[in-house]
Parts: sequence; structure tokens; C-alpha cells
Amino acid sequence: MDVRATDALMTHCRREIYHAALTTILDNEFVTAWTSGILMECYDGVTRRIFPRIFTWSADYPEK
Amino acid sequence: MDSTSGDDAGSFHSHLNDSLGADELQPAAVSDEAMGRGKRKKRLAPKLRQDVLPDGQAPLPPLRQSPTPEVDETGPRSFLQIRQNLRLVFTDIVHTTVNTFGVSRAYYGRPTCIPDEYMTVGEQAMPLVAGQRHQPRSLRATLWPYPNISAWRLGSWFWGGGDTKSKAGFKDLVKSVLLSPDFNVRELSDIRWDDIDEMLAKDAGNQPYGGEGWKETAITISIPTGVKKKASDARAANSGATSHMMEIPGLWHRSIVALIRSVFCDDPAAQHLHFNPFKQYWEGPGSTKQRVRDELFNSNAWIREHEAIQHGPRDPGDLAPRCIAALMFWSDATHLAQFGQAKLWPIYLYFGNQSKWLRCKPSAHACHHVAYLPGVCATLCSWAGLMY
Repeated sequence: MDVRATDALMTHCRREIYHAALTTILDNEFVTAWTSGILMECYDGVTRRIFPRIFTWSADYPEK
Repeated sequence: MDSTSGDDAGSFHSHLNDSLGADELQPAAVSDEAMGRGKRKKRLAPKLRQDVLPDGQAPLPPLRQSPTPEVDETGPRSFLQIRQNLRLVFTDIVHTTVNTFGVSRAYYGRPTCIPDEYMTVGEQAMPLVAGQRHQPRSLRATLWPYPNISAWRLGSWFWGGGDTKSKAGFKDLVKSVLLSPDFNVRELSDIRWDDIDEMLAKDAGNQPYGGEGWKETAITISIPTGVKKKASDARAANSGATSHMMEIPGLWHRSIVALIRSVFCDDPAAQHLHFNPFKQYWEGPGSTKQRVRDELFNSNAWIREHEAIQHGPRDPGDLAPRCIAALMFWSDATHLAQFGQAKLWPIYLYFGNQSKWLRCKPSAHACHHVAYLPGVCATLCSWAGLMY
């Protein structure tokens, strides 16, 4: 018997996966870097405190 | 953008007249030939044609030398505490001189460097030199997991030579393994080939050398079962929820912090990264000063955020300049094959600190892979099909 999931369920699952994945990727290490910066010696020899900031997020709706 | 491109074209003829605009550089209108059978006009070979190329960023003139040493960008901003909750912050605005296009920049605080200063059109347009990106690896790291070059030569012949025995493979064995000057049979005496093959089969994340810190994580998602929670339902009472938690394996990801560190510290592309935001102005002959916005690092958002992080709390003695790593994420599901269902769902990362003229070059290796998301796998589909 070939049983297929409904589109609505697949949409739900894709959205859940996307959000769960982002929670994993933007982890505590990243949040700490966001608030207090990362001290690093850059390529030009200057030690800077680098604060990551997300400027653009260009992605389609994965649940569709 | 418009103001810069019109401006850029003008630079080519700047030695003639600064006021030449883009419109005046168009070739003369077609005259008699278009009306009937005219004389064939001999077209110059492209090499000889004096074409006006769109120019990229102009080289910036050096910063004005100030007689008194200005406050460096390093260190916190000076401020005047007017009231308990009111602080007047002083920021040095450093203006660069006007370049050939009439474009100048106003930096907030003296920048530690201006990456595109003196950058020529050629440098902007040419692909970056191949192999520039990666630091040379040590011999040991290159050979890993083989302990020496003789073992590596034999191993790469064995795995790279194809599945079947062939004459070409035999000749290759003689030529590139046995006859190579650095091949020494004695080095092969106590090598555990099975262990090496096992290490080769494992993913790169566990390697002591190389590997970019990729990790595989299983994520858990909740799927509603659609079953209403009833007090009489023993199963629901036990679980206390009407959703089913499902573990989905196969999220491949790497640390963004480690990625920033590797790009900013070790990547030669980092010498062209902009750390200081600025406002860019264009002032043509007889026109008013206009703001030119063409990059992320001259946007208001960056300037605002840059100032905000300068005023954040500092540890005593922490005088390091504070800069932004502008993350530009990009994601799109990709079909791998013309036919079939093979798909990847990657998340890419670009750095807004890099000029768009460099970022757009494939040779710049500006695109970094951050994650590969798992798809809704077949097991889930079949499970869901049975459930509903």
C-alpha cells in the first residue's frame, strides 16, 4: 500500500526542521560572540574585537 | 549606484574635462549608412578600439596628514556624562580627500586601514590568483593518514587507479611509485594498511589535519498527532502531549564563530575586508553634495550598529578596536540531478565586509558553506503515511 503524507504535514515538518536547524546553527557560542564579541588577531596584524551581525538573510520559504 | 556609474565613466576622460558625463561618451549616431547602401565601415579590432570601460571603485587618495596625531580608532569613544542617563559621545569624523570621480568618504573615527585605497581597475576586474586562498599545508598534513611519502604513493596508486587491473595502471605503478626518487621500500615495512583505510573512510571532521569542523547533529521536531488529549486515554495521560517527537538525522553544520575566525585571521582575502563603515559623498561640478550608497559598509545600518558596539561596556584595559563581521546568509534548495530526487539544502554565508566587486568573483572564494539541512526523509514520510 502506498501511503503518502499530506502536503500540510510536509509543510509542517519542513518548517520544524528549518527552525530546529537554525537553533542548532546559531548556538550559544554564536550568541556569546554576538553580545561580547570575539577577540582575534586579523590578517593585517591588528587585534580587533569582532561582533557578528546578520545583515541579510536571503532564502526562500522552505516549507513551500 | 547611478551616481557612481555615471561618475565612473567620466574618469576615463577626466584628463580632458572633468565635467564630461556618461551621455557624452556614447559613440556618434549612425548617419548615412543606415539610410541605404553605404560604404562598409571598417571596424577596428577590439584590441585597437578605444572603448570606455565601466570603472570600478576609484583609488582613494591618502588620508590628510594632520599635524596633530588624531585619536586612533583603537580605544573607546570619549564622552561627557551630562546626567546619569545622558551621555554626550564625541566621535571624530575623518574626511578623505576627493578622488578623481569627486567621491569622498567620511569615516567615523580614524580607520585602521582603507582596504581599497590605491586599488586599480585591473585588480578589481581580474580574477584572483588561483591557489592564493589556501595557506600551504605541511607535508605531514597533506600525507595524512599515511605516515610517509612511500606509503602515500602506494596508497594513492591503489585507490586512484580504478577498479580493474590494466596495463596503464601497471605502467603507472612503475613510473609514479616504484621509480620515483622518494620511494623507499623500507618505509613500508610496518604500516597498518587496514587502519589507514579505516581512517580514510571516516569523514574529514575527525581529522587532526585539515577538516573544517563539520559536525553532524540529529535534530528533534515535534509532529502533531491530531489526537485530542483525553483524561481517559491512558497513552495521552502518560505522555502528557499530543505530539510525537521525531528525531531527524543528517544536519551537517559548522561553527560560525570558527568560520569568522578562519576568514578574518588566515584568509588572504581578509586584507580587503572593510572594518570601518563610512558615508560616501559625491560632489560633481555645479551640483550639491549627494550621498552615494553602494555597499553594505556605507549603509546607515552598519554605521548605527558600529557606533552602538563602540559604546558597549568594556573590560578594564580592553582597548581593541571593535568592528562588525557582517554576515550575509543565503539559502536555496538545490537539485543535484536533472532527473531524480537528489537534493541539497545548503546555507551559505558571505561577508559584507568584502566589497561586492570582490565578493562576486568565483575566484575570490567568498562563499562559505555553513550548513546542510536534512530533508524530510523517507522514513518520516512512510511513518507519517501510516499514522494518518
